[in-house]
Amino acid sequence: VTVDPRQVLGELQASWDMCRGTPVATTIVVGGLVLRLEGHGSILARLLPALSHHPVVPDGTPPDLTVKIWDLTMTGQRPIVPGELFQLQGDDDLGSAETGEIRFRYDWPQRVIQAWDASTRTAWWVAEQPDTIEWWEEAAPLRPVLAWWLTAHGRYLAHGAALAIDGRAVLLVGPGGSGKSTTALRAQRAGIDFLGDDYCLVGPAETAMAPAARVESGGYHVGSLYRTVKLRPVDGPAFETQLARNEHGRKIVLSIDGERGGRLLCGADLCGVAAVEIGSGATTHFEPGQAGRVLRALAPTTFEQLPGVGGRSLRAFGTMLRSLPTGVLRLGDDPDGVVAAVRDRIEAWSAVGA
Amino acid sequence: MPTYRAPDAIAAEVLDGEAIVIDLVSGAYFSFSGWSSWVWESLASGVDRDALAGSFEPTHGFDEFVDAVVAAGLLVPRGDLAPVPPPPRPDGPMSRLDYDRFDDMADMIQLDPVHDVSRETGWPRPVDG
Repeated sequence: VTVDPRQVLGELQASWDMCRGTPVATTIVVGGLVLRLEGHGSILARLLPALSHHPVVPDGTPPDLTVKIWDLTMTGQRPIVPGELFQLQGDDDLGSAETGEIRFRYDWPQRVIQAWDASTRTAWWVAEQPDTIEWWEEAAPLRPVLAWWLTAHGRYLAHGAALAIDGRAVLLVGPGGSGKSTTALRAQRAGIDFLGDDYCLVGPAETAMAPAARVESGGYHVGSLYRTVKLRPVDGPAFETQLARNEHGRKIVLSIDGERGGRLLCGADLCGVAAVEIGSGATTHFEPGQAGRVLRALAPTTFEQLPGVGGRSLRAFGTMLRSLPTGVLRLGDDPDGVVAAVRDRIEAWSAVGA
Repeated sequence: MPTYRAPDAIAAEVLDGEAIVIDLVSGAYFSFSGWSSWVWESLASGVDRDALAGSFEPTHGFDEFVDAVVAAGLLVPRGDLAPVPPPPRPDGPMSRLDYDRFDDMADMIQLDPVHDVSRETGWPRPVDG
């Protein structure tokens, strides 16, 4: 890279400073860390619903990260961002031991530039136009920025659904189409508490995202990130009467509100991880063990959409799966049986960890 | 007597006979199962390639597999590094050695339309735009 990444961060900040009007802001707690979101224009309001279940803290609370969100129609200054900054792949970052991590990403379908500077605890998220923001960004907003930041703090994004009973959770993992979302929504509607469907946070319980009372228990914790469930349109009609939001293009996005079925939780003890697969029979089966298969169901699909965090997350996932019960849940055709299997798994693994 | 090690620029986890390997530079990731996982891990531990080849029939494609793994950058010459204990031999019948490679992220980056921007008007205007 021939350009100074800090100069480019200065370009982004200058563009933000030249926005018209006063920014709107909200400060929330995600994974035990304070996240401040500031926005010029209409985009922030579209991103907030998926994060609206996280506790709000008063303005003035020192943030662990501030994300500045705007689009180029709001500013008098276009930032100059050389394309070579986006040629870096893998886990390489642009910072140094002295300056801390710096990351850039260009999201070409939405024409959004995202950048994160660990040393100033600031991220910039700028779109070319407000109308290029896609439905999936609203369902799971700011994912690369949050992944860089949270991973650096020992909270790892895991592509999976988390469900809990009495504060003890199971993480269901697997690639798209494996049945995670349908299972999660069925279980939530049946009264099992919900933490997330698409991406959840996992980490050792001693990280601050665990409730203080449980810090001494050791083990792992799972945190909520987004309150949305993404369903294929073919699966949507089963829940059609309960839609909180309507169809957005290729998938149906539901927002879990906790008013129907189980509660929406921000965190729980993680007592086991199961890979979810579509089975071939009517009955749902569970096979214990197979930690390697669970890792294979978790890691590639997680890293697929999260640039720059693969190495650290892979090591964390490996350590986690060596210390927690694992297994494979083969889903049958019977919805009640699927929910019963999830309930059985949480209760059985809770007993192991108790 | 070629011997290998895993390069520094990869991260790997082997669990229950499944190996997930990430190339931290390119962002590509790989998965190995069963005997394929054992071969990669054994070679990365310093087991001699020729000695390991004797465990397999020609139909298992040992040499093609190892050549492909080396070409993918997942094994490099070991040099003077001492070997470490190899993994336990798996159970079950042998099958043709293979691995899965995922390049989704690299594909995304190659499709990235931002290459350079106008010095005057800035992103997202291209240099010639």
